[in-house]
Amino acid sequence: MDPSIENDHLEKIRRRLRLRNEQILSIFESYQKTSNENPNRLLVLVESNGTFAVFSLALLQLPPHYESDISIDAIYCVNSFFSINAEVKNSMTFEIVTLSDSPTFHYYPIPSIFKTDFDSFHRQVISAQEAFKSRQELDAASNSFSWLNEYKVDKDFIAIDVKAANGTRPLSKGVSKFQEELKKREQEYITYSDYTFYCGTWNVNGKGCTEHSLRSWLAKTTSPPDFYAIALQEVDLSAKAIAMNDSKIDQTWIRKFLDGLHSEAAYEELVSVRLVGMMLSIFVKQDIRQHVTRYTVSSAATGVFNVMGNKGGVAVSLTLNMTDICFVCSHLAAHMDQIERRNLDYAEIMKRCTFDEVFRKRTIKDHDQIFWLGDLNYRINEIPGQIVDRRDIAGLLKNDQLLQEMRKRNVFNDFEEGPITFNPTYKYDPGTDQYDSSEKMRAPAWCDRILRKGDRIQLILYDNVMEIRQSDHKPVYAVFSVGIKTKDDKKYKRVHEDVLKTVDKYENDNQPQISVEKTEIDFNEIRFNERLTRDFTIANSHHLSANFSFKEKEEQQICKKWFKVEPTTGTLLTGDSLIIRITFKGLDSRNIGEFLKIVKGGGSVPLDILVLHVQDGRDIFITINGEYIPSCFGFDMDLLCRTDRPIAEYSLEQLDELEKSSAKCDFKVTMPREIFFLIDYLSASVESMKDVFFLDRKHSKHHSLNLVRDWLDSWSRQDFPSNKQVAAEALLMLLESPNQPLLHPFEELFLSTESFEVISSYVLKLSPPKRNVFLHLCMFLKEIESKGNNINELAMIFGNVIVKGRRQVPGYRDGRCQLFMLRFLLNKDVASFAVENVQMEC
Amino acid sequence: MSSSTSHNYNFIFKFIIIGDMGVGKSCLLHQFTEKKFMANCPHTIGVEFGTRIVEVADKKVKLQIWDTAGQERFRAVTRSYYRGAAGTLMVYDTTRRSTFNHLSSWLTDTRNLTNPSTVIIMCGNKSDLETMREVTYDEAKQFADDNGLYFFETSAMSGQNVEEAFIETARIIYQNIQEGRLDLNASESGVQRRTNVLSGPINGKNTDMKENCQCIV
Repeated sequence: MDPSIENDHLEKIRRRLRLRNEQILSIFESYQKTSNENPNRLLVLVESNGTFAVFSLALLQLPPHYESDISIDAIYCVNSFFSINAEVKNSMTFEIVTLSDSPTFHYYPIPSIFKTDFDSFHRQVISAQEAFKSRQELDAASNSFSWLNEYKVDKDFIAIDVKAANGTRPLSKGVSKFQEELKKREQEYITYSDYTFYCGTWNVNGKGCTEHSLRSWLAKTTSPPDFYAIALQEVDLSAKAIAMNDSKIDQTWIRKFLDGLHSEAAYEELVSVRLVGMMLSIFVKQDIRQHVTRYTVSSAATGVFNVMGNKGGVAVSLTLNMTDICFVCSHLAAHMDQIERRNLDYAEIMKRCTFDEVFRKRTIKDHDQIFWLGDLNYRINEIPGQIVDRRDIAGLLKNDQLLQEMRKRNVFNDFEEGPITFNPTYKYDPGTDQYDSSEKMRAPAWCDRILRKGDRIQLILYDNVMEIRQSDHKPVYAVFSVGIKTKDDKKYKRVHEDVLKTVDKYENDNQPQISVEKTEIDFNEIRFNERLTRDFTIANSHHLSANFSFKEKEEQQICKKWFKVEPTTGTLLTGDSLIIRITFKGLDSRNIGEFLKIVKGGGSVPLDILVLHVQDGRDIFITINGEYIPSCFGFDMDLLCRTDRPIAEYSLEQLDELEKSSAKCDFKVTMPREIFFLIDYLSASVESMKDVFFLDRKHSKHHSLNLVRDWLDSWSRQDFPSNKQVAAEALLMLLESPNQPLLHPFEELFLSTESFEVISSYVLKLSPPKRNVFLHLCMFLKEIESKGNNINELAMIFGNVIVKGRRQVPGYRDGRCQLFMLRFLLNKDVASFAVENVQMEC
Repeated sequence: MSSSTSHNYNFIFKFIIIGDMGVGKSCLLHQFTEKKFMANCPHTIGVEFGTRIVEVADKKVKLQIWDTAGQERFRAVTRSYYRGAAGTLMVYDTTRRSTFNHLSSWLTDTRNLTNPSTVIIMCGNKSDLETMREVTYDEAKQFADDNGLYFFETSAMSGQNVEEAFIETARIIYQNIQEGRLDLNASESGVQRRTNVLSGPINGKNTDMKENCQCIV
């Protein structure tokens, strides 16, 4: 390759890496293998003050045509941890072993335009490392890689969003993260292109334009400027204009301007804005008009009461490519002694000129570049007794109020003005170049000024125009070369794609996470009327705080009704853990039937599955298991009559079998032994049967109920383990707990029929166990009625239990159940009917 | 330019991945989002999700992918995640015939619980384990054809066809939107459109100034 071309490439790399004293020692061309593509990589060994680094550069095209084709992919410090190996012939590996799990980077060589083969590159890197090491031994302190800091790309977020983790800011959502990343990497796709801005200002003293042409003011550059910002003051001094705060654009001026612009380019008016005497017009070259993507105008009056527009400012805000620019035209308070007032006017315009945007108000400050033009009215202080030579510009400038105020930082902070090399612009006898010869003999001053603020603005010209003589002011102009941020589309596309991937990864890596001690909760043995609890721990060992909640499933419940979960929602900060308690609330005569329906299916079905939801993260299923130990409560009278041994000796599956095979399996007894045992026990003490059955079922939570349960389930021959109130409650529970009430399937018929004969006929149609239980009960109730019990109350208690079963709402009683019971119990024939029809033997 | 409501994508598509336990659902998701194979992947006890933005016909589409537990006992719970899925990846394991045989039951669930425009892709995963194959390509293809399903044999291990399966699903959904077969306004379409989207990589022609400027003059 031609050495000059090679130098050209080298120069591009130098510029791209912003190298100053650093030396490029060697360049090696290679590529990497990633899952989708094999991107080119240029490896560049760079030395700076005895430390070395290998830059891995990504290239849009090879060789690079533009500086912007080059971006930095990675930087490896050639320190003592660095190693470069030629593992396989013609392939190379960088290993950085500062961390045990750090990755190894593989590069594969390709024929080089830089004429460096792998061996010589390898040799140079090795010798660089040797040089570093030997120098390190001499002076450990001076080995600084700090020169690499400016290349560092912040990649921390990929694993951990540190600020989100420590709570100093909320976790960025995808969109804002995306914008944040794009902005962060702006320098990778922003290039600057220079535009020429012409700014002119002129106080026209209330007169229309009488000049033949404004070309002597506006066409001052050899090549045509890209933008014109032309500011006028005192366009109309009439009282009417002032009173109306006139803002109508004076088109004769616009035509005059268009006529006077540089003749070698076609311009169009972008926008003009006027407030009484102040008018600001922006003209743009037609071929760059499309690069202006936004513009708005604003104005602020600072005249009388800060509302009259004879003084104040007008402004245009625009976006050119990616740079926000503001032009301000102002006319500040007049007179030698009004310095303070002028400073205030400036502050007022800065504050009150705002530009409406969709989501906020932009102020003048919120621009990358600001150009401030106008009759600022600052004068030249006169020092008594000192005679000033009006031709001594340097001498006059020492007393210029604006420069003095700016030095004191009273006004136009951080604005800059070009050096003034022209005569004061005020006050002349109109039509001449003579300073004011009127009675007032106004002292000359540089009233008309052009200031700017922002980076990458270079002043090219700053002058006045003496030969335009119609006003008492001379026009002033300044030409700037302005660096405008421009998006490099190719580079932007690459960064955009890259950022999308980054944000995907960010989102996936920054999902809040909760770990769960166990996902299977086992209650082991579950029994009727027993409350159990199980605890498990959930913890957040992830870097983000996590909000969790148990998700509602069917019927808006997070769990089945016999479970309770506490707490159901919460927040876990990093490092926090929390105990979740699951309570098995216990089965009672109201819910046992439903519970049995679910567990009967078989042992492998979980009792419940909870869904633990982590906000913005995954859902975790918590399975609840447990084995139900059957009890007589909840089973139908028919089934209880088929058992040939105590319930406790059956498994749930065996009972299920027994139920399913009902056709071939005869009843072993006429009525369930459990019912018989209870009635038998109660009848034995029938002499004192007062206060045994209670409407409010106040013994339903009695502590000895479980002893009674076990006594029944084992057909125990021991003495009854409790008292008759508990026995009475157990009887009621046994009657109401099956899925079907005792009088099923004729419940409604019993309620709606008044004839004893008809009722009797239906009683006879009940299944034998149910019929027997019912008739036994009637005989029992008649018996205790005769011992002084209130039959109305007994009818109320039992009516609900045997007709409605557990289906009744707690506390609700259907009066018809009581009526039915009374009708039956009080019938004179009931005793004989019962005796006749109760079945004594199977 | 103020852009607090802009988005970096034009659409969100919701996907679910279903199929028997151990067919590689989580590995497919991981391969798709991280471009890596996850060895020794634990059983998913619940529902996890991952996102990735893909490009479909010059539009940026954010895929929001729900990976469900395959265990039979979770079937009842995972069914609640089917609603509002624009795409369903129904996965079986080419080396276990039982997982293929269960597809009709998974398909029944999908058809019952998703809306009719949901795109269903059938994936025969573990295609890298050729020697252990129990279900031939032809047989699976026949099943897919009979049931009107799109079909890929994939390998979460090698990455083969993983991109294709996800992106093809997205492409079909997008095509359905374009051709009016998918009503975005219908609830549970599984698709959300984002109107205010950041300018794409290449600036188009200058947009109409009237829309972009607030001209007070």
